[in-house]
Amino acid sequence: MPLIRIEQVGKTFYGAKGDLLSLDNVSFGIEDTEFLAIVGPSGCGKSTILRMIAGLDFPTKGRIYFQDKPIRGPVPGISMVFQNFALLPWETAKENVLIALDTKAMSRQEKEEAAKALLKKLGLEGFENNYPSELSGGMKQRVGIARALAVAPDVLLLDEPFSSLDEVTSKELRKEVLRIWNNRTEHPDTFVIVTHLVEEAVLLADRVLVMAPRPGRMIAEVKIDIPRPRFDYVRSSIFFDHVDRIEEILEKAGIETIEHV
Amino acid sequence: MLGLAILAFVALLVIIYQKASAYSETRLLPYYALRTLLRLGITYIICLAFGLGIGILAATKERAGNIIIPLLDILQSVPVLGFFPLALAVIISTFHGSTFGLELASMFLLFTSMEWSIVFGVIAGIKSMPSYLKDMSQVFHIEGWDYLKHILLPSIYPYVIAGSILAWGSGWYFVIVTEYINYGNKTYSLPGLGYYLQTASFRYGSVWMSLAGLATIGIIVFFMNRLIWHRLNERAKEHRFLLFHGFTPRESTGQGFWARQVNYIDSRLDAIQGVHLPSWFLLRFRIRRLNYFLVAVGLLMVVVGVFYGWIRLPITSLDLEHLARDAGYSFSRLAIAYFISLALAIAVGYLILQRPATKNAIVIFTDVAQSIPALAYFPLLWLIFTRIFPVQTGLEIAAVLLMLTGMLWYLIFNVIEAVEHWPKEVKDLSGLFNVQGVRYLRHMLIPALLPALVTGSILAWGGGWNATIVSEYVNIGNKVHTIPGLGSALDEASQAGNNHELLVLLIVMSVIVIAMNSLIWRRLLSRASTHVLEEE
Repeated sequence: MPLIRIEQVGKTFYGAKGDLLSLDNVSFGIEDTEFLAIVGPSGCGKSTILRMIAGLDFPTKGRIYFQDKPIRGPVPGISMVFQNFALLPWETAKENVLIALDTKAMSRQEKEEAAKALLKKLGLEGFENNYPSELSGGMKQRVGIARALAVAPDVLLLDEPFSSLDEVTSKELRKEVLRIWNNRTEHPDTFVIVTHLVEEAVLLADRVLVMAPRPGRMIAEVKIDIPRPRFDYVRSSIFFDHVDRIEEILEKAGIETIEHV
Repeated sequence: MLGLAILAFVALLVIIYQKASAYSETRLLPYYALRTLLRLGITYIICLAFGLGIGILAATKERAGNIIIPLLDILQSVPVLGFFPLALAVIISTFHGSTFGLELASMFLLFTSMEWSIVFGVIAGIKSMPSYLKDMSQVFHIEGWDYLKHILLPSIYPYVIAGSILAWGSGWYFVIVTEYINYGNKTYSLPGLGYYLQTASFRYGSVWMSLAGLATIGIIVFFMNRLIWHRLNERAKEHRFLLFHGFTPRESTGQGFWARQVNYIDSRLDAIQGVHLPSWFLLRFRIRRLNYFLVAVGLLMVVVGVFYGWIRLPITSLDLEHLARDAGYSFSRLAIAYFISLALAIAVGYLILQRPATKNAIVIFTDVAQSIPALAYFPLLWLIFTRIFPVQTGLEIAAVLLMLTGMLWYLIFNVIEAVEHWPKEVKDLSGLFNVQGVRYLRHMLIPALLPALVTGSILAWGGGWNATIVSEYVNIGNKVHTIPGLGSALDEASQAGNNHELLVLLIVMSVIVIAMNSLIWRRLLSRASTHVLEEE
């Protein structure tokens, strides 16, 4: 039984100028310890699905189950990394992580220690008392990841986490994310990433779900059979074969794809 | 349902006018309305001309701006109502009490209440012009009149409209006082709606007459907003859309009565945002403190020079201890009113965020409540509270309530505006990490609202000090009731025609306002703005 089940989920926006079907009958499962990627062009509803899993958005049809229980709102077992970092600008890096720890039954001292340890783990030692405005984009997202890990979730959701960063920084952070996922002794070990970059999906995921827009729907599922660590294969034909296969699917659905180096 | 409500409203109006027609003044209402409108209109045109001239100068010539902006800022902080008896004294003595002198004095007071949002709108508009417009006009040699006509004026159009809407709002508020004033045991009056209202409550004590006056103002304001400002503002929105591609016009919420209300209110909010944006306040504060100080000292020297050197005011001794005590009393009342306003504003922000459906109801209520000049219904308030409580206590409560109405709207409008642009991420965060209750207030709501709260607070305290002048001193049926404070001291000085004391009180009040701006708000705002939420 999958850890998370998305069952016949649909979403319709009811508006004055008529109803808009934004998600049409989407079903899939997310297995425990799996790294899943959802790719598709903008407007295909991929982020909406992620937000529904997080309990931040709700389907108008169908249901989503986490550990066999329907999702009715945010749950501690599922955490999220945001596209625009979503850091509180008036709190320091440490305070931003503490926000997630506050509801835990720990002493103030323990929480402080935990926050510091998390920031250290993400390579932010010495930046605990810096405000987001004093951090680079990559560092901001590292704080975002540390905060997401603070609740010790089973599942980590990543909503286009690197799309507002430059290519060099994105590469570093992708390595970081893989390192966290590979660490089997610590949670979380089920990852779901939403991205519009096919290469990113192929680099990270065990399985890629392909979506198309108008209405948002699932059009294919591609298993990625490339040995890990994947960074050793990024220039090999097996990597490009996978990328080509997904891009072909997208092109067949009439979606323009962009070549990424 | 709606038709019935309108019918009932019209019937009520007929009854009010019928009852009020028992007084001969009521027959002159259309004439009064015309006189008041004319007074406001002429003042507005002067304000517009002055605002464009000074504003363009201040915004385009840096050296001029370094003097003009602090000067305008200081003049704006001086409680307008305090100006009036003094201006009246000078102008009446010059024109020997002629109607022309009175009109001039009235227009001067209106000018000091209407000018600021226009001139600051002009400056804000020019300062936020996209730099590519300037580059483009240089490349194509668009200069002089052509630059003004094709580049500058269209760019600042939305800001000027926004400023004008606010200017008319405060104009309506103050026109009520300017048309009927007691100074030095004499009553000076000008024909107009303000005169009508004040006669109603002070001479006749007639509720029907008061209601007829209020209804007339309400109808005029309503139709002016609909027929003039709303249309101009809709056009201004298009300008804004063309200028900043980040700006997307709000989607029309559809047809129907309530939908139109919401549309109209959205455009009012846009207007308020145009002039009262925290970032714009910051821009003003970016001018060096030394400049502010030097300009303030210069201004003080000019005032002292004019009044004591030229007009030769007799210098009487002042009871400094008494003065400090009065300031303390007024300040305490204002502080109470302020903290109630602050709590209400934060509660409104919380409510709208938690229950978005309440937003429209809150905005409609606020807009209506705010547009009724509080000065007009103060006598009624006073009557109620002095009946329930001992007179002094009743006076205190009525005074604090009136101050509250002078402060609350600035805070609430700023909060609504901030909540309107609330980033989705913060909402997600509070859900995802279960941030609620006190933690939500401390970590999210209050810090996120801080720039808006500070901006609102600056305006609120300005409005509050103005309100002290009308709320600590009531003259009903030739009987004077006062509670100790700077406001009542000012009123007593103007009753006694003691210009020297009037001037000192005015300076004390202004110094308090300016000191609070530079010691508290300036600091809070610059701190808040270094860690500000960015909307993607």
